[in-house]
Amino acid sequence: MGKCVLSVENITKSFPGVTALDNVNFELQQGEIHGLCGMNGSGKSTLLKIITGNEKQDNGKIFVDGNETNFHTVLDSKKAGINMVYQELSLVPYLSVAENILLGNMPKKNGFISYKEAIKRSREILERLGLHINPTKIVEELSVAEKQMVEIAKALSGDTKILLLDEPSAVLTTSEIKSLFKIIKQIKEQGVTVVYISHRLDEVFEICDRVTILRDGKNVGVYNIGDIDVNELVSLMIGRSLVDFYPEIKSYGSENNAMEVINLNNYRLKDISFHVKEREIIGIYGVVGSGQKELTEALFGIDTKELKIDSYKINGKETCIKNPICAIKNGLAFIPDERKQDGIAVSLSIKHNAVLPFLRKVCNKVGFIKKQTENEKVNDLMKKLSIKASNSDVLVNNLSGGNQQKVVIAKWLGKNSNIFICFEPTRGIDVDAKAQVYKVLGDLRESGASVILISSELSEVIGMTERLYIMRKGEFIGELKREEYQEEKIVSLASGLEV
Amino acid sequence: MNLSKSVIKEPKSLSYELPQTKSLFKNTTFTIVLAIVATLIIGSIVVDSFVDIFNLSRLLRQASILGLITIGMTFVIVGGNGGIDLSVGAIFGLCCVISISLQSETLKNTGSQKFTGIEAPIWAIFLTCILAGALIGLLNGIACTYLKLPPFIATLCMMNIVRGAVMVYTNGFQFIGVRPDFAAISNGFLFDIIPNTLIVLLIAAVIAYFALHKSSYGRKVFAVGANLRAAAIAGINTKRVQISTYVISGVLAAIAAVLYTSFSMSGDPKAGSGYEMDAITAVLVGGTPMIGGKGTVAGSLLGLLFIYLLKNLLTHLDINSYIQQLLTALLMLAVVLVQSKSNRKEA
Repeated sequence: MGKCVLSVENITKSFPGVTALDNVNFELQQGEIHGLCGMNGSGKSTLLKIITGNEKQDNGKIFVDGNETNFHTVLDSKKAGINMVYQELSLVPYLSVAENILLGNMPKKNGFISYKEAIKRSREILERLGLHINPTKIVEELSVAEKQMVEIAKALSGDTKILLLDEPSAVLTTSEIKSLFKIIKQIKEQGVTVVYISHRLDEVFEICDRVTILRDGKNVGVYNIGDIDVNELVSLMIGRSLVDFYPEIKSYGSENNAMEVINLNNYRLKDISFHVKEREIIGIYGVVGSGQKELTEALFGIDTKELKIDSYKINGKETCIKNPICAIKNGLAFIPDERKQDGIAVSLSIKHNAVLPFLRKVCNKVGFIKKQTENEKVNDLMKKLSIKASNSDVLVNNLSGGNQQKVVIAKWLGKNSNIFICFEPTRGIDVDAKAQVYKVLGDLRESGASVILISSELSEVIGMTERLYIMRKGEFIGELKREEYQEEKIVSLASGLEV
Repeated sequence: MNLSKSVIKEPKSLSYELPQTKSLFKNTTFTIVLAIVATLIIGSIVVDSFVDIFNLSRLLRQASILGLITIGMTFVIVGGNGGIDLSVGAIFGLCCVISISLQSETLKNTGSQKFTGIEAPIWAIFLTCILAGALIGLLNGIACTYLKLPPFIATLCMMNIVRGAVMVYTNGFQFIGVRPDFAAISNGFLFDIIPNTLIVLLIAAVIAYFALHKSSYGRKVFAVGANLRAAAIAGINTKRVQISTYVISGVLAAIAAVLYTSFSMSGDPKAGSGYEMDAITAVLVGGTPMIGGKGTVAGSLLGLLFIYLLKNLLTHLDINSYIQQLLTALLMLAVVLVQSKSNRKEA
């Protein structure tokens, strides 16, 4: 048993509507690689944010080397030797590797930056990690994997005692993951404690010494990796979901395909084939970063880079979706995960957002808006989706996340789209709003639409879908019917374990 | 596992909606109206002939010309994504020279060089200029969308290309003299008091108002300006919308140039230098932020009126033009600061 470098005691943190962390204890021993596991929304990121000083806990204490500490900013935690490598890379693309590694900490000589010294120092850091990257290279020219390594080098440039890695392997290939693991082991030998967060449980078993499992904001177990097997770990992560707020999913048993895709390939996706029947609701499940975003954007014509599809049929007719305009013409609707980026314009009103896809319906022949028709239509949509706002002129910026999401849905409902591609439709919205979104998706089917629910939230795909495709690293690796749904099986498949 | 059935409660109030602020003082347009009224009041106190129908009518005749350019600039800036049109001044200069070249076969100019022109009817003069403006606007639009150039750079280059070409053609000489029928366009007054150019501006403003605020086209311009990606995903042909704003801007600059030539009865290849900045200032003072997605035609025009009144007042006070420039700039700065502050409060 090593010395305890960091311990977190009875941490509680609530956000409006949810308790993200409930009396959580967490402990790190010096020089270990500690896995942190949990489903989406289990509180992993909140815990890390508190440890790094990004968020303030409501209750509870943090001890570093046995001394109680309070981090007010990320800088405080860095000073204490805690460094985090985030999922989305935080390098400056147009600066050199050396400048990035030593960012904010460049060596000086006579008041001027000494590039010679900077290059020397960063080369040392890189070599210590066994990396052969030229420190004068511009970061933009590096591969994703190299960037990830530079990111780690950057985190280790200071006096780092604890390194937090959030899904470091999400963007890496198998061989790149191998070298990542080599580096992590080297760091460990140098006495650094590593926290490893990954949805890919095979990796957790390969690299970690101990593992802490979070579920619904609670710590449900800490194990030495040898004392737990896959099935136990998975069932601890899943548990039982507390609230059952999914609408009844009945099968309409239609024989006609609403959408059929054969062999979709692009830079990230490989041979994806699937179909959706009329009035069917199917799920596509995979851990975060399995290529779901690329798939949705390819289906909707947003991202057509290197896209090759053998056959893309909608309602039995061969089509070519080369841009969103095409997709919409074919009756597709897209509910994106990044609402504020892809779904709505926050500085415009509910009305102005909602009518965008179906402007033609509320206009006269010359192109002027028919005010009354527009108001009726928008008010009707707001009522149907119970969007809470005093009127349709309220700016979307002033709505809650759930209501914003409903504005996105209103767009397509008003357009009468009949195939809904929903990508993480409930991300970042509270439980009540989630239930409403689920109900709306159920209602859509009642009225004749088909739904494709692409999500990394297990309870959601299990609760909502009739049929499920499982996705891993850009490929579909399994298809299950509702009768065959087994949480353990789904999770194991998606996270790369055999059962 | 219990997969089915559940009762969904009627949701509790989930709205985090802020009260809609209808406070008059937060309304940009109202602030400008206040500023205009204040300028008029101060003006009438300190200068006898300031609030004088004759003075105002002459002022409006001139301001109307820049007003047309300001309307075009409003479309471009509302269209967002860095939208700005620096080439309007140069388009203006080009169209001044085109207009005067279509007056008669021999053109009088300040140099000794011989230039030949064509005697074209008025409608043909308008048409030629409008086509020229539209073409340059189209090129601007294509450069900003398909070629993905930042609008600032694309239109800056266009400005210098067009102005350069005009200077090469004219050798820098000014042309003098227009036909009486052409001079009558801008120099006329309705009921002896409302300048013709103001009538043209008002017609353009009404059309622009309906296009931007009451039509599906306008909705698209706002959507593209507020969130390009979301607009594209909603099925809007964003490139076409963006290009159209530059075409509108080019066409309005061209019409303004024809009116100006008629009014000044000369064709100066340098005409319109700096108009792009005046128009941009008016749009900003009028409450359209540089990031786009917001703004009104009325606001921009009131912003312009305010600037003109202020300059006119300073002239009446015999304040020299250099100090004028400085004072107006400082005042602009103050107005925009106040507005951006209230904008931030809203957000």
